[in-house]
Amino acid sequence: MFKGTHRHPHAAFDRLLERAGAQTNAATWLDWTFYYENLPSWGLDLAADLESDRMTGLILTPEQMEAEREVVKNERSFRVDHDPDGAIEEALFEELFPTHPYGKPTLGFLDDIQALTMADCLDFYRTWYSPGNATLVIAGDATPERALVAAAQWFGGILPVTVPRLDPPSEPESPSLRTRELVLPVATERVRLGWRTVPAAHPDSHVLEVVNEVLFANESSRVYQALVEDLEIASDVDGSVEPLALDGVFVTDVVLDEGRDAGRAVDVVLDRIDRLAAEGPNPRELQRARNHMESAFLRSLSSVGSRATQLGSHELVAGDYRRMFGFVEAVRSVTADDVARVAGQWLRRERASVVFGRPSRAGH
Amino acid sequence: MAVAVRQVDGVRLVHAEDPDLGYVIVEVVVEAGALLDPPGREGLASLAASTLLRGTRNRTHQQIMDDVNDLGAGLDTTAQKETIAIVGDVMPRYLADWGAVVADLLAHPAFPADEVERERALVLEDLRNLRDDDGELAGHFFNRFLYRGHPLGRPTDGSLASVARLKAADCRAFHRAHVRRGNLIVLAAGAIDAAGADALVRRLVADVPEGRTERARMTVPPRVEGRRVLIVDKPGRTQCQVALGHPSISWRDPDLFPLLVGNTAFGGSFTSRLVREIREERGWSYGAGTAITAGREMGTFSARFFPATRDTVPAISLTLDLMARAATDGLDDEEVAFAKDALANQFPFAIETVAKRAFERLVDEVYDRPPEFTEAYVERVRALDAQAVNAALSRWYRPREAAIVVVGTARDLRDDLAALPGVSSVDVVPYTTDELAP
Repeated sequence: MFKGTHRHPHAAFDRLLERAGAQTNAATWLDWTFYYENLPSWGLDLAADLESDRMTGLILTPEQMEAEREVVKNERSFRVDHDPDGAIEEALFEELFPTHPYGKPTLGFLDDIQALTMADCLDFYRTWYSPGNATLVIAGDATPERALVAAAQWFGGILPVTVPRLDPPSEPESPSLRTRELVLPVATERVRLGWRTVPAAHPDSHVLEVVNEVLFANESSRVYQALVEDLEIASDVDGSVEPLALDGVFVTDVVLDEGRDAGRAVDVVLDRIDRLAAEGPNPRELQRARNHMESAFLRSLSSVGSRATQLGSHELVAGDYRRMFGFVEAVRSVTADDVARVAGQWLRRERASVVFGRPSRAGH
Repeated sequence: MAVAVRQVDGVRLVHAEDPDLGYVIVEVVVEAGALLDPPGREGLASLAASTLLRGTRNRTHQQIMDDVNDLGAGLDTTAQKETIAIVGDVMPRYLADWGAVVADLLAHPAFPADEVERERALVLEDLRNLRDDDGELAGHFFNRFLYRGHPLGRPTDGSLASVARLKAADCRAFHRAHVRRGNLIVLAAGAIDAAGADALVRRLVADVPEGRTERARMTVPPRVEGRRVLIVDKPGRTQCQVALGHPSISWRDPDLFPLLVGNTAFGGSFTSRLVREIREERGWSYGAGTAITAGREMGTFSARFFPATRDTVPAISLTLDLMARAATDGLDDEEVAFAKDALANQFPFAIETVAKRAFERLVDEVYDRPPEFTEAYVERVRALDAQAVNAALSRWYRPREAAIVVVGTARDLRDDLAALPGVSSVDVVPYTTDELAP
């Protein structure tokens, strides 16, 4: 999608944006693809012009296709095959979603990348790239009137396309805990646990954020405290709530100290979840989580670009950009009972998928 | 929302207010960093910084972390060649509580032996885990190899061997020697007004002794003719991480702006020459680029990319050839005009927030960078012509003096790398190595 259009040949597209001072990039994840430009406000029409052109005028040549195929293979090698964390993440999503499309890696497997044709790419492009399937976020030094004029001018004339409705069957519940072991060139054992949870628009998504704070997210969290400071068997613990449109994923990672067993860490993680489900958080933990999440929210709005990203994410994944404005209030309203219920409902041990990364013998 | 610099109780304060930010960013910088680490005790400044959080006369480590986390605030330490710092952020309603904790860390750290031992163990784990990330390894060994024998080549975080030698008493002595008001710079940015910032500084340093110690000074290493190669041997790799470069320019050199423009056109942007050749034309590497990092006495030029093993030596060869061509033939007028526009138009994003503006001013204070670097940036970029840019490239692109670090499988690379024109040495070390021979 950086390969040029009828109006803007290969390289001219990015050259124009960079010359205008634009910071540009693109990303694809399970629910979306996004392109962004952070650029001076006088460049709004340039960006809108180019994005509308990208939406309708893409051309591909066989030479470009082959060069880009090599780039994507190289990216996969970089992000997955030569990155232990990338390999573990890919395996975890396969375990969590054995049948749902969320289980397939966004970058594709090497065979997929090799087999893709130009017709496949153009077919995908013609099916999904249209204004009716796009969200345009404009943030910063532009009045609403100016933004609307730009949107109408550059996107208003594009003919609508009927976009297929995606409604894949939900992933069936797993009857028991699933595990997978990967042998990797890592110095120490590491483990990632994941649970399917709720879509981003579900009220429990905020509660899961609080669960993460109480258990994993900082040095005072229960699991961090247990594994890093009390038992001294891990060097790092982290957790995250992955916002998805059709489902949800809760993930926690543990990096073990040299010679320590990741299985022990899994026992501690599951035990602390059980305890939280039984007892709930204490008032100090709950207030701490609320403060942390409010701070994180403020940090996420520190620049114009990050504000645009937040708005777009809430609109695309949670279905309404206005949810962003209610985030702090929603977090403040989470109760101890909510936390206990959600931990017990969504993070039960039999619903977990676990991927171990074990050092290869040739490791360290 | 201008940035102000003033003295408060013997401490330099860099302050920038933005009430709409909703929180306050604070850095307490101590002008004493890894350059002061004694030989064989690399990592001391870094450990002395991180163990500030491991307990004070008044708080245990757990109390420190709980007190800060209760506020939803951030608190961490950093170490660089010339500084260590306590960094964090906090919502204004909790600033006084957060400041009380940081004041305690600055003035009353206890360095308890068992806590220092745990922190040291975590540092050692981090050093081991660095080996899992080929890109990080390439950056780590590039600095060590490029500046081998020079203070800049000594690792800020230390090595397994050097960190193992460090004790609580070393951290205590470092703190006693360097945490003094004359060595401190406090940055306060965001939802804090001038009076609030002054009061914060007074609170933070109330029990910090006065005094100032001499800063470590570097000499510029002599130029080295010949291309030196270091292969960081990791078995079974089909992709390599490459970092190559050489010492470069200081902040005050008149060639700085022309060189920044030239480098933007050559490899510092997505549509630059190098990226076009490596990524777009050949599909060799998803990421590619060059960077100029200026410093007080000197800086560094570096190029990074990560091709498949079979493409690695051709990609290195192409990069060196392109550098040589840029140095001898220069860039064309379109490339220079493009880079000037790109840098000037991008600049607002470098100072977009009060925090960014304050950080730029902090860099001026720590590294003696002229404040006009920021203030006159756009004007200076706009004033350049192709002749000045090409003259700077001819002086500062030195492909025949490149240090080349490749993380990959040595047996697949060694012969071809040795056969590159102008290569004077090829060293191979296992990726688990802790020390580079001098």
